[in-house]
Amino acid sequence: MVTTHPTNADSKYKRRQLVAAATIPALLVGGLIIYLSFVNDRLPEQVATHWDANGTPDGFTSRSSLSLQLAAIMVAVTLPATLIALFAKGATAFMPKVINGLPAGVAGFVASLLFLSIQPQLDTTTPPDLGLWVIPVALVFALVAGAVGAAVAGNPPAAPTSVAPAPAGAERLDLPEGSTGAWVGRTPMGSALVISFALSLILGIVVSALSSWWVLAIFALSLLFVLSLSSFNVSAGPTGVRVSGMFGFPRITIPLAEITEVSAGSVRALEYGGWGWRVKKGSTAVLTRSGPALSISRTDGALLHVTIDNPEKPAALLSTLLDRRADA
Amino acid sequence: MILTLDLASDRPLFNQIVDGVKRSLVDGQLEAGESLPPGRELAAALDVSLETVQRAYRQLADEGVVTSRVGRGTRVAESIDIGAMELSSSVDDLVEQARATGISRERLIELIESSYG
Repeated sequence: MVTTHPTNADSKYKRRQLVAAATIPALLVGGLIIYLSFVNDRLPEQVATHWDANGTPDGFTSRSSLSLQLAAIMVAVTLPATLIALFAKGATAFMPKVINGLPAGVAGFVASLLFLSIQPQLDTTTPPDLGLWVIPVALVFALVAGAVGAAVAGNPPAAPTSVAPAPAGAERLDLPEGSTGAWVGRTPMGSALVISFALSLILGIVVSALSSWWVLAIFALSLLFVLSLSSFNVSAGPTGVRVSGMFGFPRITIPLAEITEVSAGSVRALEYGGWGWRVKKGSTAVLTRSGPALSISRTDGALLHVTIDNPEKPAALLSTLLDRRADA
Repeated sequence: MILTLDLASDRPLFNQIVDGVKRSLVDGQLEAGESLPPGRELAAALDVSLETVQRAYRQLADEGVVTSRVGRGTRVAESIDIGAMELSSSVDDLVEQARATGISRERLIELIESSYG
């Protein structure tokens, strides 16, 4: 394989990422401010900026400070996603499309929500009620903006490949010549995860019983989200390593060519700040409990830890496949 | 569960997957009621087509080793008799050997009965 100036490709990708994660959100903030400056004269003295669950306005901001306040909200909400896209290398390496598209998506969501809530207040003094329909509309716009962001950033430059065998000390699997093998399994459900899941379920039912259906809907969605991060399918074989959530997402795929070392060890969930999908200093950890885990080192120096029972088996299999790759 | 495929063998890949799942049951890597990995996952891991895995799962379902239900995926049957399954490959070998040495079906049954005592 011929690699031409990988640093050049890297810096080009960084520039595209900067456009996706900073320029697009900045343009959306700018667009909102320009829109507000155009319609400023047509707005009431007190502009509604917050609505209760029934869509009745319950919070107001004076017209003069509206632009500044809304711009500040947009920046505050979008900035974390921008910082993650630009600096959390581990996250972008594993899910480039999602992480690069997120800042534009978040900014697009907030900008469209603000636009949809300001527009009906033009040329009127009575603050109008706001229907819940604005949320799905804003979500659609967010998806479009996020897709544009992901497309602008494009794919990260291909990681360097390795052809070295697994380290001499690692366990090997007895795999006859001419045959191949794969390990398939699932992350175990840790007791702490089960308990917190059960507690949040009870809490959710109580809260839902006391309030309206949409609280229940939001709660069900967040429960689904937690569920999607509570169990992962893990596989290791001739194509590399795959980890994917209960609904196929989130997903990590590491081709065999990008693996330098595999080991069976142990991780403490608290080291990574808890359970779930964790990113820390370029390493990604998929944790459902503390304890035995499979650890993969990548050619770009990033690490992946995933908690599974008996990680020795997939580790031995992968080491054997790494040796073969080196022999070939 | 570890599944191995002999790429040089004449035995079709789906049969090898069937054998592998049974072996995993016999050596305890897989237990009654446990889910098999989603077909897509297994196909990607082994670098074979989804069809090959689905065919293997269908065969396992036909043999009563697994049950497939929409929404629940494929699971090892609760009622599975692992002891009998473990023995069946030995029986296959035995029948093979009997055929090779010209021993008739009746004679083999006699031999087994006398061995049982």
